[in-house]
Amino acid sequence: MTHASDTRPTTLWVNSGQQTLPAHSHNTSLLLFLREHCLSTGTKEGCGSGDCGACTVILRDLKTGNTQSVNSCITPALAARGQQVVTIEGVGSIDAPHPVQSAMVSEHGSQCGFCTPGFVMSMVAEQLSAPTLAERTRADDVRAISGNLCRCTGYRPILTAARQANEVVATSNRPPEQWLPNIDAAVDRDESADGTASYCMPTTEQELQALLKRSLNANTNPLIAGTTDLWLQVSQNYVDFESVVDITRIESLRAIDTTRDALTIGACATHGELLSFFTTSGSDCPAIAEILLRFGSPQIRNRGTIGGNLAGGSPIADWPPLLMALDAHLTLTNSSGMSRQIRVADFFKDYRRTELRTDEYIARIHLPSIDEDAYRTLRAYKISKREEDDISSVMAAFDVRMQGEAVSHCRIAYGGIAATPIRLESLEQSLLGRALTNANIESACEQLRSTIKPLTDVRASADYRRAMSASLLKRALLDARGTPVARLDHPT
Amino acid sequence: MSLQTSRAQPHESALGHVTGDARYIDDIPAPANTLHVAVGSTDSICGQISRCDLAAVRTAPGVIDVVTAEDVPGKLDIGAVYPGDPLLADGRVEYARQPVFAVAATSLRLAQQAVKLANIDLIEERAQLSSAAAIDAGDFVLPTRTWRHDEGIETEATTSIDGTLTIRGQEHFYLEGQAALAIVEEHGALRVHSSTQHPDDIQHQVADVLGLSMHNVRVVTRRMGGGFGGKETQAAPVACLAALFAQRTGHPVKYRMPRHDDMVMTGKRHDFDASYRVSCDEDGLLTNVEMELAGKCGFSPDLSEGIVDRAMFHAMNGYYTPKAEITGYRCRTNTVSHTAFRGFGGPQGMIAIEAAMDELAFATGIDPLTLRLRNLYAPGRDTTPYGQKVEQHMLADLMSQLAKNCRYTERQAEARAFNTESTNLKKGLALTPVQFGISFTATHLNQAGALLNVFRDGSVEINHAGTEMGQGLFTKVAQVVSRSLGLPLTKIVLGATQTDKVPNGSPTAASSGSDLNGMAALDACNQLKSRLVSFARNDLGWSKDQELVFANGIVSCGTQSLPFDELIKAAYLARVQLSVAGFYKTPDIHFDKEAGKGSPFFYYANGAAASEVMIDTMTGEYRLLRTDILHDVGESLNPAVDLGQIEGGFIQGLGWLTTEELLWDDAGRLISNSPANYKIPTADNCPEQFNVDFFNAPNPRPTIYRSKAVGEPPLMLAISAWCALRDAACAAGNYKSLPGLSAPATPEQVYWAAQQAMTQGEQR
Repeated sequence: MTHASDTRPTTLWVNSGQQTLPAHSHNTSLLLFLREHCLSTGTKEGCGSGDCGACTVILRDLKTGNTQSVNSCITPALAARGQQVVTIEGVGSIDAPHPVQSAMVSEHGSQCGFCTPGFVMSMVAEQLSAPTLAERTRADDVRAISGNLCRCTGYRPILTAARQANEVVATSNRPPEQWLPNIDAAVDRDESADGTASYCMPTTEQELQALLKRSLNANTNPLIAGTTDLWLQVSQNYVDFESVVDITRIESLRAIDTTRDALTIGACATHGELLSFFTTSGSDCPAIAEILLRFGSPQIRNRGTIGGNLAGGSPIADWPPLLMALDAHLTLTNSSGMSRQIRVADFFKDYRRTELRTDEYIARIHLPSIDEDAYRTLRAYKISKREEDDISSVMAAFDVRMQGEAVSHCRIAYGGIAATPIRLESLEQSLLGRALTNANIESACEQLRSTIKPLTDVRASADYRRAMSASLLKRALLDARGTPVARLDHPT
Repeated sequence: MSLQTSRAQPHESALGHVTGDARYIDDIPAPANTLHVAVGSTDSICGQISRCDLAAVRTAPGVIDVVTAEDVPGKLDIGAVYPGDPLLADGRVEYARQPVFAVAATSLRLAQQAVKLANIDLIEERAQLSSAAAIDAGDFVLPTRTWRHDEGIETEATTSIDGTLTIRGQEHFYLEGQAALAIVEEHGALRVHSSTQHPDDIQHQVADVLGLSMHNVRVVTRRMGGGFGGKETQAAPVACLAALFAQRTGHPVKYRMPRHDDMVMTGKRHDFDASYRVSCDEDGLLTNVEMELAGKCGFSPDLSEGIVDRAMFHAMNGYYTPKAEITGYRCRTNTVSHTAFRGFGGPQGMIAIEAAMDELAFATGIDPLTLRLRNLYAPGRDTTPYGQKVEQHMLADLMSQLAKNCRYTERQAEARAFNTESTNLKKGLALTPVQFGISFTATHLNQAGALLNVFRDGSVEINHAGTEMGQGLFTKVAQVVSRSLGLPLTKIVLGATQTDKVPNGSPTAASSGSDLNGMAALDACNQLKSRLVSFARNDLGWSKDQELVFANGIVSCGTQSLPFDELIKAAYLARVQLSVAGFYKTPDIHFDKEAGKGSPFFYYANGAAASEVMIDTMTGEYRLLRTDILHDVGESLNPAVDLGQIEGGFIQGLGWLTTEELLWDDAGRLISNSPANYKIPTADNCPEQFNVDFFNAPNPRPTIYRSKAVGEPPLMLAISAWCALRDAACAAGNYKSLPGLSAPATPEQVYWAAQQAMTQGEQR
C-alpha cells in the first residue's frame, strides 16, 4: 500500500481533464468537489442523502472500462480515484447534445429542470450497461430511473424520452461508450488509484488488519465501503471524520465464490453485483432478485455493499432476513488476522448493535451451495409505502418446504417487527412436522401476532406491522402448501 | 408560419436543463468572499426562551457573524398578509425547529456545524398540536367564517349521510431547495437573487427588515427548480437573512437551505379535518350540504385566510345545492405555519365533497357516476353557495365523453366480475370531476405588468413580473409576443424577472401566470404596434386605409412592406419610443369575504379523470392500473406545456393522496423529515395506461388567446385514484359497506379500510 502524503493535493479525472482535489479532502463529497472545485454546477444537490438522484454521475473504471451511476452526494470524492467521473457536462452540450438530451428536449421531459441532469445521467448509464438496448421494456426504463425523483412532469414524458433515446442509440453506429468524453491514455492510470493517510485504501486484508491495529475509533475513523448509509453522517449531520478506511479496493472482500459446497460472498460485493449474480442462469434466486430490484435504486445498488447492510445493524435492512432464512454465516476477522464464524441469526444484539467488535471487520458471508433447493424455495416479501426505493415497514423471508402433507423444513426471518432483524425459531419449531391446514396456518399467524412487539414509527404503526407479519406468513405458508394467493404483480 | 401559440414549443430552457447549463441560485458563480448562512433552533416545541447561549457558536471555526431577533434593524415580522411571522424567534418559540438565530460563515458546512453549538432553553409550555385541540380551545389564527346559502327551494330530503374525513398535508419537495444570494451594491442598496414565486414580496420584505425603501432593493429571479406554492411566502426568510448578513458584513451572502432544514422549517400544505352532512332527494339531487372544514394552520396566519376560503369555495366542486352552510376554521397549532401549495386549499375542500358523493351514492344505491352527473351545475341550477353563477356548463359533456372514451361502465362491470372471482385482489374504479375557480380571491392581486424592449437591431426582450418555476410561463409569454409581433421565437429573449423592470408584481400563483402576464405582454405588444402603425403611416407614407400585418418577421401594409428589423431601425432613427410598459387587470371580479358573496372567479377550469386500481386486501398494497383524463385548457397556448401540467399535476396529487404521509410525533416534531421517510411518487407510480386528452373549447371569457389556466386544476384529478382505492376496499366486503379511508391512502390505510369493509360485510 502506498500512501500519498496528505499535504499534497491529489488529482481526479473529471470528464476529459484532470482536476485537483485539495489536501485533507477525506470529508469532501464527490458532489461538493464537482460543484465547488470543478465548477461543474450541472450536477445538482436535491437532498444530499442519496434519495433523489439529482446529483447522479457516472464513474468509469480506468482499468476495466466498467461504468456505473452513483449518487455523488454520498460518494466521497476520493472514492473516485482510479475512475473517470463523467458529469452532465461530459455527455453533451447545447451545441452537441447526447441522444438522451435531445430526446428529453423533444419529448418535453423537463419542466423546472433541476432534476433533469440526474435523469439524463441515469438514462445514459443504463444505455452503457444494458446489453440489448433495442429490446428494452417499459419496466426496464422505469427501473433505470427508480433512483431519480421528478416533482414536475409525472414521469410519462421522461419514459417516452428514454425509449426514444434508446432506439436512437441502438440504431446508430456509435456505441454508448463512445458518447463519453475521451481521456488521455498516455497518463499513468495505476498511479491515480492511491489512497492518502486520511483516506486509506488498503488493497489487501493484511493491510486492513494493520490499520485496525491502530485501534481505530468507529465514530471518528470508520471503515467505509459503499457509504450509502454512513456518508449521511457527513452530508446530513456535518460530522468530520478524522480519517476513513475505504475497504472496497480489497479484491478478496469483493469476490463472489461458488464451489460445490458453498457460496461465499465477500462483504464488499455490491447489491448490484449480487443482483446480477442472482439473476444469472445457474445461480438465479427469484426471491432475492425480487427484493434486490426494490432495494434502493440503481445508484444505491452500485455502491452499497452486503457487508455494509449487515454492519449497519438496522432492524429494517433487507439482507438479514434473506440471509437468516438461508441460514447464512459470517466470517468476522480481527486485526490479528484471526477469524470467527457466527450465524447471521446471532449477529444482531440490539437496536443498531451487532456482535462486530471494534477491531473486527465482516470478511465474508457463507451461504449454502447455489445448487441447493433453498434458492428456489426461498420466499421473500417486502412491505413499504412506496414500491420503489423505499425502506421496508416489514420484510420477511421464508424457506418452508413440505414432505407429503407435513412441513419438513422451516426457516422464517423478519425485519421491522423488533429492535433487530430476527429469526423466529420457536415459530419454525411449532410448524415443523405439522400439516398446513387452514387452522394450523391461522394458529401460526396468531402465534406470531401475539409474540411480537413491533414499534410505531414514521413508516407504519405497530398494529399494521403486527397484521403484516401475519399476512406475510400466511402468504408464504399458502404458497408452500401449493395453494398460492394471487399477488399484485403476479395476478393469477 | 403558423400561429406561434397553440404549438407544442419545447420549454424555453429545455436545452439548458438537459445539459446542466441552466443556472439556479446555487449555480451562480459566487463572488469572492461569499458567506454562507445556517439557521439555529431548538428541538423543544414551544415556550418563552429562558436562555440563548451562543458563545460557542460565535467562536466556532469560520463564523463571521451571528444574529438574533434583536439584530434586525427594521421590521422583524415578515408576515405576508397578517403579522405573526418573525424572521427569528422574538423571545418565544412557537414550534419545533423555529429559527432562533442565524450564522454567516465562510462555508455552508462550517455554518451548519456552528449552529449545533448553541444552548437554547425554553420555559416549555403545553403544545397545541391538532385542529381538534384548537377548536376545543377556540384558538384560531384568524376568525372563523361561515357562508350560508339558501335559494328558498322547498325540497324533501330522503337520504342524509354524515361523514368525516382526515386529510393530511403535503411537503412541496421542489427539487431545488430554498435559496437566495444577496449582494451589497452602491449606497447600501441590495441585489438579491432569490428562488421565489414572488420577487415583489421579497423586495418589500427585505426592505422592511433592513429598514430600507423598496427602491433600494432589487430582486432577480431567473428560474426556480420547482415552486408549487412553496416559494410564495416561504422564500422570504431565506432572502431576508441573506440580505441582513450582506448589509451587516458587506460580504456577498448565500443562504441555501439543505433539504432537511427545508423540510422541517418551511410550511407545507395544510392538514384538514372535514365533517359534513349531505342530503338528497329520492332522485339523488342534493337538497342541503353542511360542511365544516378545519385547516391546521400552524402558529401564524401566513396565507391561511385565502387557503381556507378556497377550501370553502371548492367544497361543492362542480355540484349544485339549493341550500348550504359551509364553515371554515383556521386552527392555531404549535407547528410550522402552513402555506400555499398547488390548489391552495381547493383540493382539501374538493376531496371532502367527493368522499361525500360516494357515501351518498352508496346510501341511495345510485351509481356514483350517475349521481355525480345528475348534480352538476346546469342552466337554472347554476348558483354556487358563494353567489357566483356558473356560466359555462361543460362538465356533463366532458364527463360523459370521458366515460365513453375509457369504457367506464363496461370496465366497471368487468371489475365487479373480477372481484367476484378473486379472493384477495380487488379492483376499484372511480370517475371524478374538477371545477376549479380561476383568479386570486384577493382581488387586488389580479393585475400584471410587462416590459417590452425592442432594440434598434430588431431583437426583442420581454420582461414581466411572473416567475418561471418550470411551468412553462416564459415559453407561453414568448409565444404570445411571437404571435403578436409576427416574429420567430429566436428573435425574442426572456428576461429574468426583476423588480426594477416590472414593479409591484403579484405572486406567480393561483394558476394565473399566463392569464395575467400573457395579457400584460400582449398589451405591450399592441401598444408597440400602434406606435409603429402611426410611424409607418405618418413618416413612411403607408396607406391609412389598410391594416398593418405583422407576420413572418415582416411588417406589411397592402403592397408595402419592410422586414421587422428594418422598420424598427427606421422607427429608432425617427425617435419612436421602442420600450413599452404593458398592463392588465382582470375585469368583472369582486367578492365580499365576510358575507361570502360575490363573483371571485373570472371563470372555471374543468376536467375529469377515471382511475382504476387493484389492491391486495391481505397487505393493503395496491397499483394504479390505468388513468384516463379529459381536461379543459380552453384554446391551448402550448399543448406540450399544458399536457405536462396535467400529467405532472395528476401525479403530484396522486402522491398527496397515496404515498406522501406527513407525520409529526406526539411531542410535535416532524418525523417525515427526509426523502428517506417521506415518499413522493417515482416513475413506477405513473400508471402504464395514462391517457390524457384536451376537451377542446375556447374560453368564452376574453383571456389570452382564449386559453385557460392549467397550473393547479389537474392536481385534483387524482381524487379519482383515491375514490377508486376506496371502491376497491369496499369490494373487499362485497359492497356491503363503504369503509372510511383517510388521505393519504397508504398501503396501511387501504389495509385497514379493507379490513373494515370485510368486518362490516360479515356483520350485515
